[in-house]
Amino acid sequence: MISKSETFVSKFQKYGIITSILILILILYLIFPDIVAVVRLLLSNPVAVLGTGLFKLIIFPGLIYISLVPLIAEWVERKIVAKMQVRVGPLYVGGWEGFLQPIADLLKLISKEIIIPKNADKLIFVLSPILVFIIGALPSVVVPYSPNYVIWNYEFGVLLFFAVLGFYPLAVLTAAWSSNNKYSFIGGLRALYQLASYEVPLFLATLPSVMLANSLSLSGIAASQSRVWFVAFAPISAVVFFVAMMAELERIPFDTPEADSELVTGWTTEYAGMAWGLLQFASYVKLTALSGVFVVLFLGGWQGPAFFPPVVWSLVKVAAVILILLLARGYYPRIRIDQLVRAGWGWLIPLCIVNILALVAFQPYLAAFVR
Amino acid sequence: MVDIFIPIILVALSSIAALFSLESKSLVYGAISLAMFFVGLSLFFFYLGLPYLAIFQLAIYVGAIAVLIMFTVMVVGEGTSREGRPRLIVLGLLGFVVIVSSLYFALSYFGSVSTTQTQPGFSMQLLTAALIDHYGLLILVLGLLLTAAAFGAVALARREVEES
Amino acid sequence: MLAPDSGPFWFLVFFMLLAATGAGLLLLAMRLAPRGRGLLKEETYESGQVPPGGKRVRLAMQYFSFLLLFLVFDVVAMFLFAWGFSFFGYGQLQSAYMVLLLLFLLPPIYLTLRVARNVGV
Repeated sequence: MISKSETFVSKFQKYGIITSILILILILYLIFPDIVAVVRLLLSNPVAVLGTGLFKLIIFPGLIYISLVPLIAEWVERKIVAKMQVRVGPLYVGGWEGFLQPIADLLKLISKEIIIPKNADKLIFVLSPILVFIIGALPSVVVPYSPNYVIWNYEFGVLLFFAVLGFYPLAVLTAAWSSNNKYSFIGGLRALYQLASYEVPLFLATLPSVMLANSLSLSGIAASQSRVWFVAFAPISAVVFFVAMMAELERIPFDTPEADSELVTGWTTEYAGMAWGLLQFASYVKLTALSGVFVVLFLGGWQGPAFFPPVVWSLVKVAAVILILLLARGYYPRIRIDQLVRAGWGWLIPLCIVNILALVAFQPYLAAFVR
Repeated sequence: MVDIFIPIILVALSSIAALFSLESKSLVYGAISLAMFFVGLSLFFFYLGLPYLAIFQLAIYVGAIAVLIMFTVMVVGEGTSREGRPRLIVLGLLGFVVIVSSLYFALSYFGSVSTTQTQPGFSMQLLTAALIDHYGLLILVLGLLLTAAAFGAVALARREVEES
Repeated sequence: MLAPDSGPFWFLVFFMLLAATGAGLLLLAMRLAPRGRGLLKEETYESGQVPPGGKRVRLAMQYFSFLLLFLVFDVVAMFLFAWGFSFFGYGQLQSAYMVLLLLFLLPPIYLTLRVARNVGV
């Protein structure tokens, strides 16, 4: 007997492949002139390829970069947390210290069955991971890694970044609701409360950098930190942003939505195989984007002494921020949902307001430093 | 040619989403398509050269209001049946066809809307100047209004919690 | 608006690329993975128990007031960004409007936290 889920999977495969091929054809049609231009450049002047839009889209701040960082971050995380807990962590795959373990994980996830529960709302259940992935990865379009390496150098980049990130709770809710599972639903509601509570501090902690730089574009904010990094004027906001970032990413001190000792794995409970992998992938991609924005807002972006090129400075800073984020997993206990909501509204928002008030109070003296 | 079709596609997509959000049997599907309608509206604002308004739409209508509606629908459950209501889908589709075709004829009659006309010189400086120089006091009134709204919301939510 | 090699154009292409990547990974997994037999795998996961109760769960809206506050703060934040954009263009006196707008919102937060404490959340 063939169950409804099985028939749904075969139907989804049929229509999904047709739709994907249509999307790919559309992409190829749109970027065909660029491909031709890149091929011509490769024959004449290969170095110039690094500056083309297509290179940025596919390789550096684009698709390959945002999919490589999760693979590296996962290995580093497992290795470091293992060392902190006096274990060895991944050891065999790839020879040296098991550095190919993430690739093995990816292959394992791809070869596992995606089980669709019979009570689930099947279409939304399958589409939600894709939606979560798109929303997690789309904000990195406006994050600059150097004056040149940014896919869309947008005038209102800060606002677009946080507006797109604001869709995340929507996708989490659809994923949680469509699973039709108690654990998923409780996890989804917790995620919603957490994301909604911490989005406001995130917004307000961004404001000092915008005020000091007189610019709403992330490139403009990074460029105006050539003399002093904004962490010097907005230290409270930087700390608040970092904490709110951790909460937005649902990482360990704030992992109440996924609380594995209470809720199995929270709103991802019913997801198996690559669907779960896609959700996990999305969370790491979001981590990359938010770390990039933290570096641009407070740590000077690509600014640094001239013996390294700007891109290297951004990458070093982003790597450092990601490392600190990952380390937190090793030494913090989970906090309860009521403590979490109370900390967000009762502490982080007033702290943000204190920083903004301080900037307004010292406005006449600040202008000399920033300009 | 493309200039004519971008607004028509946007209008078509957002009105289909709006129709579906009104007519779908499941409230959750309705909430999702309402969010899609808001996204379509914001894309329309982008097209008209009003990026700040568009991002405002995205951040508040999709990021907060649609999420709130979806949350309410999911928590309260699909209690009310939508059966036995007059189906207005035919009327809606008719209106949709009329709007899109009139838009198409208007655009092809008057020529495509050139970029200089669609972007009426939006600048952030002008917006800020208007906000602070002209409407400064009104912003304070707005603040008081929002505070009152927040108090009301807290009072309402408190009663709900006590009842449940 | 969607001129080739412009920002919005790359944004659109990136969006489609992400959709294709996500869908592609899922479809690849569906094609490669073996299908398990038996319908027990399709039961709702409840740590090995047979799920009791109705189809959908309903929960109390304990933190609903915080969600409503979030809505208010979102609106205010967008106004604040419009002011923050030309912070140095205005004196402290004119900035006071926006600062007051922000300070007005502290009492509702205080009240919400108080109510939440009283209700026992």
